[in-house]
Amino acid sequence: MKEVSGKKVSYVYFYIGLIITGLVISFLGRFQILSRYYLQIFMFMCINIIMTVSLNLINGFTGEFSIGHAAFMAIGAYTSCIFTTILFSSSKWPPYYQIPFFLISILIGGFASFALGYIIGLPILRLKGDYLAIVTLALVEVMRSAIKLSDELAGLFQRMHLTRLSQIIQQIGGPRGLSSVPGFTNIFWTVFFTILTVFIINRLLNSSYGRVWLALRDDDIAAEMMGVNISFYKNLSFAIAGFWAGVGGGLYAHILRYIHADNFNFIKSIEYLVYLYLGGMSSIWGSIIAAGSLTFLLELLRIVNMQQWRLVIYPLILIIIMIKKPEGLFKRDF
Amino acid sequence: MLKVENLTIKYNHIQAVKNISFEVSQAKIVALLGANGSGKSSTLRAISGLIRPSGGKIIFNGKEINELPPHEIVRLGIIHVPEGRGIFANLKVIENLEIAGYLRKDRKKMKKDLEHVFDIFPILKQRQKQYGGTLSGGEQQMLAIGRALMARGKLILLDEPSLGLAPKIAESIFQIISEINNEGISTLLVEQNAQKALEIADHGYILETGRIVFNDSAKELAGNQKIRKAYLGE
Ligand SMILES: Nc1ncnc2c1ncn2[C@@H]1O[C@H](COP(=O)(O)OP(=O)(O)O)[C@@H](O)[C@H]1O
Ligand SMILES: [Mg+2]
Repeated sequence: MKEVSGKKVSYVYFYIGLIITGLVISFLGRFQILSRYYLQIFMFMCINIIMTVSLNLINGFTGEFSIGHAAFMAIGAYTSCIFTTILFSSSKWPPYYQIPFFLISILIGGFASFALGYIIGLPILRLKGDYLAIVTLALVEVMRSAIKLSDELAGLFQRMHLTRLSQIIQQIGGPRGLSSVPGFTNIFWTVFFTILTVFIINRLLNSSYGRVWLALRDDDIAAEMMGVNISFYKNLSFAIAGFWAGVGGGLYAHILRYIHADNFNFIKSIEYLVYLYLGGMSSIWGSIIAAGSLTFLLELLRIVNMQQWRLVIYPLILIIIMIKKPEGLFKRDF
Repeated sequence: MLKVENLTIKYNHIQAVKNISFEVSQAKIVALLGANGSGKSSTLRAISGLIRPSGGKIIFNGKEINELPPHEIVRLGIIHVPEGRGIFANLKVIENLEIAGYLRKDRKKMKKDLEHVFDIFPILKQRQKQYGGTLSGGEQQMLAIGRALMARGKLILLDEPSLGLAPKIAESIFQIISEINNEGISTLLVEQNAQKALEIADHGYILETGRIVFNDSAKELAGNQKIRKAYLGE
């Protein structure tokens, strides 16, 4: 990787702002001025920033069109939970073992998503536009159904007398969901990973890799003619975005403490598309502000018991953006 | 240097190029001329690997390259400057140039090459902070050629570089092609502006509906009455 000339966008103000907000909220939480519920909203805001910024890498900066982010999130969530909950019941350990183990599990979830992104990307990134959108949408539904069918797999292993393996897979829970996940995610870790995501993606965009992605966004045939191995670079952006979505999913699972395949349906993917388009394609600030504020505002719906209106509000937001501000709220960084 | 033997290109059932053979030797400019739809662009696309020929051989420096993917063909030193130029509109001029450099192994020489490109195209130096999409047509063509130089092209495939340019600008583009050639870079020049192309070329081939109908030195072609009537608009 090589630093390149040209404009550099810095997010120092974001890092500082997020750390201060995190500190204030933890402080208020500790003295019970804010309930755990509000702390959780803040953590969801952070996770949605991770998800939207990473989606921006695919749909914004590389110029592809993926609706598959929920699938990456699911892989990250389930993989990390398999480690923390099924293989090792880490909630019973002393805290100084738990923390590094939790971190490693989150990263393994990220790498599982990275691998999925890279492998799935090989065939599907040959598609463009609508076709890629449809296949990534299908990926979400396939992933969701596959998780729901985990009991079948357990049964199969049972019949093959692989009892131990069968028991482990049984615990993924299929249609029952996976419960007793330890609530390891806290404000510190969500802030930490949010900053790490923005920092690394911004660094990548300012490297020679980033310039190649931007070139692909502008004209992938021309990039190919300049010697870019386009399938490698597209796969890489897909996989790196998948990594962070997997990390987001792992963090998310360890807040909810119970995950179900239906948490990761295509509506979840649409949610991130809404944040992305509202903030503006190819703008990291846009993703941060839109994901953060919309998460908060839509959570207010829950308070007034109008949660089912989400599905009316998302398309409404999309329609309004398309008419009033097709470029999104923020101008693009590059 | 480049040898094309019995090249055939099909789009579904339509034969766009029918069994053509030609050659570009070291440090020469070879013009590939012909009317619209005669198969010039298709031939270039096959050489750079963007489409697979359905028959024939493409040999570059003794190596058969038909089966290679485009990015590996670039690495061998064949750079295709497409019709419409393929500028990255949302990258700055300097970034457009640098991107070609990243993909090379010898990054140390990049600075030097950049200076060289700026020597040839001083206007690009002035515009280096501007976005590619904001350049005029002539400047974009210069940028596209500059980018090919940054990629260390040994053989540059130029698809209608004068298309849509004012005559004076087109003139200076031809001038530059000729200068670059003097540095030892070979060029396969596709043009509809046959007159101008033959002025700077060493050799010419004329395509008609996918077949080579004339093949001679540029001088002979430019002097041939039949060709002047049919292709040079006299
Ligand atoms: N992608 C394509 N699909 C189908 N036919 C094509 C395609 N590209 C070119 N052709 C056809 O191939 C023939 C040669 O086209 P082309 O190589 O672009 O000619 P030129 O560059 O000399 O104008 C034309 O008849 C054109 O219609
Ligand atoms: Mg053409």
